[in-house]
Amino acid sequence: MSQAQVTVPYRQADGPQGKKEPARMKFYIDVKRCIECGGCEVACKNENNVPSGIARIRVVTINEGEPGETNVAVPCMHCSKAPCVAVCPVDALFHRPDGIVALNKETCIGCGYCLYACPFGAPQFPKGCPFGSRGVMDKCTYCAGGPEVAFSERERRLYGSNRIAEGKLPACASVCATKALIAGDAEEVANVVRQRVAARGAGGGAWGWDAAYGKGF
Amino acid sequence: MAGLANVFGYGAMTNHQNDIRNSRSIMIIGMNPAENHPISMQHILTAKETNRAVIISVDPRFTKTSAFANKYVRIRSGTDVAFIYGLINIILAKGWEDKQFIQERTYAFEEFKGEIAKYDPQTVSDITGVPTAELEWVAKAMADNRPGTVIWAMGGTQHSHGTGIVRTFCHLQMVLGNMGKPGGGTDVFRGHDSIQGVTDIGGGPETLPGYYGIGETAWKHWAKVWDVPYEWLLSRFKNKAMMEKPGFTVARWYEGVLLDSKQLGQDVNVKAVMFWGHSTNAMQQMDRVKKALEKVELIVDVDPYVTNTAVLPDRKDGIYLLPAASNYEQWNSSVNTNRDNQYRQRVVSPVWEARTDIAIMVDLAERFGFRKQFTHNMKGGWRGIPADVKNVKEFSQQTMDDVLREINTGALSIGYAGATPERLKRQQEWAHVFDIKTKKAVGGPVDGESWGLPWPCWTDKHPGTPILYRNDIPVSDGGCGFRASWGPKAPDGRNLMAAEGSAPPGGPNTGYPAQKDYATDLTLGAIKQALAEGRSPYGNGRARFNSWNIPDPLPLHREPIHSPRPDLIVKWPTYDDVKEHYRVPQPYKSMQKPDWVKKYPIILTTGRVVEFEGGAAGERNSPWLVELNPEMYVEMHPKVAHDHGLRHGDMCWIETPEDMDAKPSRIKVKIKVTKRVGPDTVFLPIHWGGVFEGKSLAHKFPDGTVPYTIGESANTVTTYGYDRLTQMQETKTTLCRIVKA
Amino acid sequence: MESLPPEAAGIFFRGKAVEPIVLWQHKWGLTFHIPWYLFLGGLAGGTLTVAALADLFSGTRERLRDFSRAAAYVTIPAILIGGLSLTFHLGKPERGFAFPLFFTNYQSWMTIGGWILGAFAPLAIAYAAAWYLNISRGLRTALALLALPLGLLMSLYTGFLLSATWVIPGNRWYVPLWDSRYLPLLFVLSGISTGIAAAGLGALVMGRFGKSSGGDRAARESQGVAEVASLADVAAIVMEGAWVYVFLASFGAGTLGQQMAFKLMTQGDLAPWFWWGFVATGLALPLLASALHAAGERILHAKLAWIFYVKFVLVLAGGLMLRYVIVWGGDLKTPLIFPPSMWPVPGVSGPPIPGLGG
Repeated sequence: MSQAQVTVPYRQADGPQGKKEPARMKFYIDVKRCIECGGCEVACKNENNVPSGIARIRVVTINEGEPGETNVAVPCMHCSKAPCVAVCPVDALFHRPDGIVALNKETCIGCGYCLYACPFGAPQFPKGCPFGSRGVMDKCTYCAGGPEVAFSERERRLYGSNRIAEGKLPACASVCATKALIAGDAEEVANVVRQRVAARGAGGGAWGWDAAYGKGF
Repeated sequence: MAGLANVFGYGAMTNHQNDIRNSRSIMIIGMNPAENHPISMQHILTAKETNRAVIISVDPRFTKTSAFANKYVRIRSGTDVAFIYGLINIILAKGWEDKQFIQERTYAFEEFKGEIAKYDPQTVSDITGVPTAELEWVAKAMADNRPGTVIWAMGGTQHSHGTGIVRTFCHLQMVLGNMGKPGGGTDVFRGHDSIQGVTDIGGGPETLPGYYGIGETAWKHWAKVWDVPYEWLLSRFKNKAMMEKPGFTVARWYEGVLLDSKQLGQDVNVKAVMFWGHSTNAMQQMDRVKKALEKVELIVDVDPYVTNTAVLPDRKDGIYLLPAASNYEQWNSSVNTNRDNQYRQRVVSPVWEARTDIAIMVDLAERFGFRKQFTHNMKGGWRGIPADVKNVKEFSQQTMDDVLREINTGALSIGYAGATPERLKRQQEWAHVFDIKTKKAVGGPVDGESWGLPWPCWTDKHPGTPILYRNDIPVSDGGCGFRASWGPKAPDGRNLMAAEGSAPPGGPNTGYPAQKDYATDLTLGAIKQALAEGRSPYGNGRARFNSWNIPDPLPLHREPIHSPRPDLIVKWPTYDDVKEHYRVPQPYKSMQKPDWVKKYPIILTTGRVVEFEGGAAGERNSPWLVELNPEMYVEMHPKVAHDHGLRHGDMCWIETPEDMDAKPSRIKVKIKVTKRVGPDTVFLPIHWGGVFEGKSLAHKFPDGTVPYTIGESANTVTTYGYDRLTQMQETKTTLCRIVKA
Repeated sequence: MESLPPEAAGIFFRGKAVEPIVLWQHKWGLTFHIPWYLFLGGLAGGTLTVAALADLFSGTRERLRDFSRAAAYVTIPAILIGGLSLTFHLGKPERGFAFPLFFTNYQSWMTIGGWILGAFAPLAIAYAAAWYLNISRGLRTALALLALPLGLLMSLYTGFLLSATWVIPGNRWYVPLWDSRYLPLLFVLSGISTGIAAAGLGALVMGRFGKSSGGDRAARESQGVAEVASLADVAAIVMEGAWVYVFLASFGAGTLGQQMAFKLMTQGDLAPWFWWGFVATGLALPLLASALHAAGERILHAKLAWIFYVKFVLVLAGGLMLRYVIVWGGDLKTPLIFPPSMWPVPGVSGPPIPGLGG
């Protein structure tokens, strides 16, 4: 496995932990903020050249057109105890040191087991093919490419861009109009959540947080 | 814009989007920022979270914005005046109005009160369909949570009495005393990129840049700026009368082609039409646009994409498509809805055969034979450009700066002098030092400046005016009173100057008229003198409840031309017919037929969706956006659909009255059953084109330029109806019927 | 798919029922690889188990030995067709064939299953070959001793394969029907009952085709095997039925997801498939057929051999339908309930406005 090739963001040595260690990348989806503009979906497709019919992130709307209408942007949450990683028979899915759940398309056998395991519907397969020729899985890479040489043509073709290696955050979170989708190191994301909880009196609107990362921040 | 200008003095958003973070109540009426201004929702939601701001969404449709509102009020389309007057009626009855503000800074409140008395809650409830309890809730919420802002967009303006609607929004804020305060104001959100800038530089047919009008003084002022003889400008027109006569508007230019020339305000019909970044599918009565496009001799379309214009008319030749560069391919500056200037860098040179707008313009000027006059002020980058500009794709950055400097020099009435290219470029470098809430820079070489130098930015030392009419800070910091545009005294002899004690600090503590020649003194002497004395160059006047110089001095409710309520048409009729308005006859009463509702019982309203913008020639060419919204549709309440025997996903015909043509217009669209709209209304998004009355026009596109999605245009079925003052199209209210396809 | 009203979900916050949401549903549609594999894999596990059992405990009883042989033969096509069906549902079948190289995650039941399958298929072939070639009984017994646990594991793993999907905090299965406390045993019992039926049916078919060569003896022999199979199947079906009852009873009174699954299976879209396709076809009617057969023989003294055909086919059809119901039921996910931060809190979604309320 070429896991050693990944470029991992590190926490600053002068941060709260006081030591240089890999960051723990997370998503925060604030359902009190998401307005379903679709900016994340378009940015993702444009950044990673995702084909039509594959949604590495999509915005789900509940109760459309009625009071209580709520929008949720759902990418891969890069869970702490990722069920997809647990069930993948060939270790095509693995945790990078920074917590990003990465995918190796060279070893994926396309069994679809991760699809049944994932509570967020993140794994994607090309549709409409008979007799199991649906190819290998595709999913959100946190804009961190895959286990290939960073910025190589091969990485670009198989996984899309590698913004993490460039020192940037995922495209979806970078374009979010209302800052509903926040990406970054767990410490900083948790700070944003705390600020919002404090401002609102209650409720960070962090959909899927407990499911992906366990209780608490 | 005309509505705002006639109340306060300037036709622009008074506060800025970031300032909504200071609001404690936000009324969003006739607007859907979650789809049309997604970024502004950041500020609105922040206000909701941190200030506990009350968000009130007033709309015929439960929009994506309404989902975030504390209160959603469903109103019948086109009854905004009655709704707002109902609120003011309650506010006055309870004594919640800001008496000091009204006394010191407004004009003609007494007459206004008399007009308001006609709109008691029961009457308003009957007109708008809003229960009286909801009116009271909203009135109390607005009164209890000050400062509050009122935000609107095309839902407020695209009506036959849109100017009146806009003025009532202003009046509500005047009554509540919310003007000239952080968190208050009348915040009209303008939709397109740099649309405020386009208005400022004279995009309309009735004024030269800077709202100088088109009278002789205006022409002479600009002749001085452009450094060309006034006589030469005059010689380009047929005569002086035509030079000073407003032209056709974008809303009704096609009548200049179609009507008999005797009915027009000019001797001959329009023979050629040039579109520069405008889509025909955004124009009302598109069936008539189509006829006009078939009749004119020449059509020129300047656009990066092949638009609807190119395929709509049934004609073999006479259409010229000029490939324009996108904004990423040229240096430019734009002015957004906040009145902010922003300098924009070129990202790439124009690709393929595309040329920048300025290159196309200079080339045209060359062919018309006035390149010398046209490029007179382009000093920097002009040298070295070959005399033959046919092959020039772009001019240097210096040229674009020169264009902006020309506007800095001339547009003094609205204070463009300070927004120089040098300062804008410096702000671009120091963007990180600006505060998100106040837009003020903290430290650095831009210390104290407002982001974007919002006009009026009187001199190159002035920080800009992020919040208009704010009289608690000095003029040198961006303070000002209401603009004294109408002299010191009204025709009825009453005072139009602000009261004693109500003026920006640092100058005379009372009202005063505008500085003489401040708008025409190119040396800036007049402006500098006023500033030195702590006075606002345009004076310190009063906001007007009574705008005596325009139709309906006191705004009043008028039923839309296509009203579903014959009984209300009798009581609140539309205007009398107008013989000539912007060179075309503009009938009102003769077009308003009470029995239409029998044949066409359902209200039709139109609007935008988040994926597309305007005619969407560009957006419909993006695979990602099309994937999110692939097909034209009509939003229909389950009751309407079921009553017609239709289901989600079925096709249906939408038909509208035969007002100017013999036959009804119709479009065939797919049904989306949703409770967003009420059971009396259907909604159409406006962006599609390339299909006309059920027939695809795909074969007419040049090879390989068909967008990923084509569909019926909503404006094929929008009907006659134009604003009395600005001639804005009434696309938000008409009547239709649904026929199973 | 129908979901329950908020009240029925029983989730309340400050007296107001909160609606659970089902975020994402994968539609199975007409997929056939998985249910057929689960059916044939379970069946093959069952046949090998019963073959080994019958062989080990046959002693001198000819009928049990015949039954064991028939079951060993039937295992071969079942595991081959099932295995191919599994492999060709993969996006990259060629990588699936090379499982010893690629399957490295031993946490995953698919890896474990890969190795079980990898051991099972050669063993089943060897065992059947031992019967066919009639080599020494000692060797066959040794193979049977290996085959017994491996057959059970095979059936068991088809259940764990599904139920190893994610467990939500609070001990609720994300796909409630795929609950590892109920599903593996159900698949084992169903594997045994369908395995016995397949062996019986196989024996009958082989006996009919073998008539010309073996004469009456073959027919008698197959009839004997069918009688053994029928009797054993009654026991297996009763056990399976009892476990299905436990399954249903605990789901009906279980968590929200379990209740939704219960409703889906017993009253919802899957109810006809479950009641008619599985319970009636796979459990009730075969028992009825056995009763008819016994009654016919005892009272009418008639030879009702055709009833065995009907019975075995019914059991097989019921077993297949069970796999379909379980796989289709995978569409139903436990609602991922919004965390408390989503729920309306006065002062956040509606500011306190004096005299007006939230």
